[in-house]
Amino acid sequence: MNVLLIISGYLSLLLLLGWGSGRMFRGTSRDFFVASHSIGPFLLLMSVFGTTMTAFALVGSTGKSFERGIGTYGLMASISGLIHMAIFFLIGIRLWALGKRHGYLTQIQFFRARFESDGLGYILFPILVLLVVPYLLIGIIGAGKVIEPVTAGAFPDLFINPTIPAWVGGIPPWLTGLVICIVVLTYVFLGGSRGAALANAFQTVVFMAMGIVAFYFVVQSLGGLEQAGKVPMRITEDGSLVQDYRFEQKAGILLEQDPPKKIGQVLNFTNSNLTDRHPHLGRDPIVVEFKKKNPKTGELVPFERELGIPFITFVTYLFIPLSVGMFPHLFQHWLTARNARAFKLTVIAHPLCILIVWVPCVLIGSWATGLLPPGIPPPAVLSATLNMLVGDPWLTGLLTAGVLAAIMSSMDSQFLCLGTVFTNDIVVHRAGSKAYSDPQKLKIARSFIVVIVAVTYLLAMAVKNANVFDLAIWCFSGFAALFPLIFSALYWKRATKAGAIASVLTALISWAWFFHQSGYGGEYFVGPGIVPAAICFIVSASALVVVSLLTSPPAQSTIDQFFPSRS
Amino acid sequence: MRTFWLFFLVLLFLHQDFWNWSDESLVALGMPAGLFYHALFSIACSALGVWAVTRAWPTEWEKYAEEKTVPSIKSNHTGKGDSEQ
Repeated sequence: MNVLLIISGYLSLLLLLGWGSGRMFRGTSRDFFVASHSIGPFLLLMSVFGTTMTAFALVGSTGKSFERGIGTYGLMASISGLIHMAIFFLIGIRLWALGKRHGYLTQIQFFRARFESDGLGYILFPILVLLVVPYLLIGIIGAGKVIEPVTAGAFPDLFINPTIPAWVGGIPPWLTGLVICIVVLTYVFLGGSRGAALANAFQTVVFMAMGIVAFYFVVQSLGGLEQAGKVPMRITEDGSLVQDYRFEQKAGILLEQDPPKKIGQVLNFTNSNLTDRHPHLGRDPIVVEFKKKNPKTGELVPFERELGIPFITFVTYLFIPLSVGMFPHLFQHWLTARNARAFKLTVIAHPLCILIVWVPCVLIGSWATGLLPPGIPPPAVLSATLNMLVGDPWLTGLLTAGVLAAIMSSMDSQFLCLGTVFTNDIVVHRAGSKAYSDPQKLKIARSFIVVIVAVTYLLAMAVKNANVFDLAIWCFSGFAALFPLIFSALYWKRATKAGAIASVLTALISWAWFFHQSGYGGEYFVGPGIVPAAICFIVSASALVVVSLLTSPPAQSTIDQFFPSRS
Repeated sequence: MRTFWLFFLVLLFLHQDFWNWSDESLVALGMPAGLFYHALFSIACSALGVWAVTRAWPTEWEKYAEEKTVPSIKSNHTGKGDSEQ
């Protein structure tokens, strides 16, 4: 119950912050959409970082590390540090300058002008919505997965159908999703873009601080860093996967198991070099078989899992962080910057912020393989580990609030962005900006946000057991496939309207094909382990180049506007 | 800017640390070799960021944005709203 009190307190604090930022709101649509270009370096860093790190960063990374090991960090985090930093520097500053100079509020306004095409906006709008929605789903699903285990037992008579029997009485995912949607909606409604930036900054500080606190207590419980490193599951001489330790919750100490507990088996075990190795501390791909209990029948069901990461997968994953260049909500955050210098701190500190958040999560995920049953749903690994190792309800409540902070700090920007795009790129664009007063524009944006939240919430309930990490990767893959569009718009004068449309359509078709092949959201690789994003990117870039070269170049006036001479 | 791209490509290559693939030894702060290497890699990315903002800052874009704001991008291919932003 204490956990619940802390979480409720945190959500109330956010509502108070929303109320405060609402008092700073200037009442104009420009203030609502881009905070009147008034955000300074620290708020920009916190809002950009908070937006890019969602349930994916905390819940997803821990779960993925639990499945595949420490390679998860190189796979997504360190490469994101490099590519995000380069995108902020090479793309973010240019887009901010063009947006400030020409008064753009959305990505689509920029593309319409750069590619001299009204139709491109209508093609892009549904695609951007289609890709942002899974991103929102990640947040709602992730929040549900985190809250249920840490509130288990709070209402045993009320919530009697938990995800797994041990979580009976915990707040069910449908209620968690509903509450956080309402909280985020409230502070976005009250404060718009500035409200989202302030809430993001506050929440980013909270989740980074709580991440460090969580890590400290987990390490303490495991007997220090060196000891914790010995905890992950181990392979024995006969290819069995064993847990050498167990955590005695009442005494709060880590005990050695003698004999070790067998939890799985390496399939086709012939390699004696694997003996005594901890597969989650390296990256060699190994296929293993575990068993998990069917929650309804209690029967043990075998399932296979690949540990480690194939090298080709690791290399081709570098295409995925390119998605940041095409996130419409990030475009909007860039436009909130007071000046170009505000970007400096973000360019420098973003890789370090990733380091601070991801390293502890990845370590906790790999250590958890030696303590938790392998069949636990990956999104629940973080909260189950905290519950087991930290135990103290006040601390668990604070740490859970930190996870919710990470989730909500992305959702607010995405909600706001969708409202902005719909209002400006569809409604106002069709009717002309003089057709609506500022209050009417705000009303349209807010109404569309409510519709999107309702649809997303229902979808999240329909796919509530989806793997947060895999779903996020599909979302990022779609945006990464569109990256050639933004890069060519800024760096290639010869890129044409026809090339841009061809690029968007080929990106969409190739992405949709692979998404279908994956069974709509599962982990999927092509051939020896190539991520679909790499292929979608290459197809999209090729279409853009070939079709652009086959069609007439853009008008000189357009080139002059978007490629100002260097002085 | 060319130097930035060069550093970027070097880091992109260094990211593919195939030499650490099977190394599970704990090297520092409880981190196995592969994770420790990539944590250092993140610091190197930040160092490249420092270099970029101090040595390759796009002042021309900064000036471009701060010049008097033009009301819109005129074009005959957009909807009504575009000419009225």
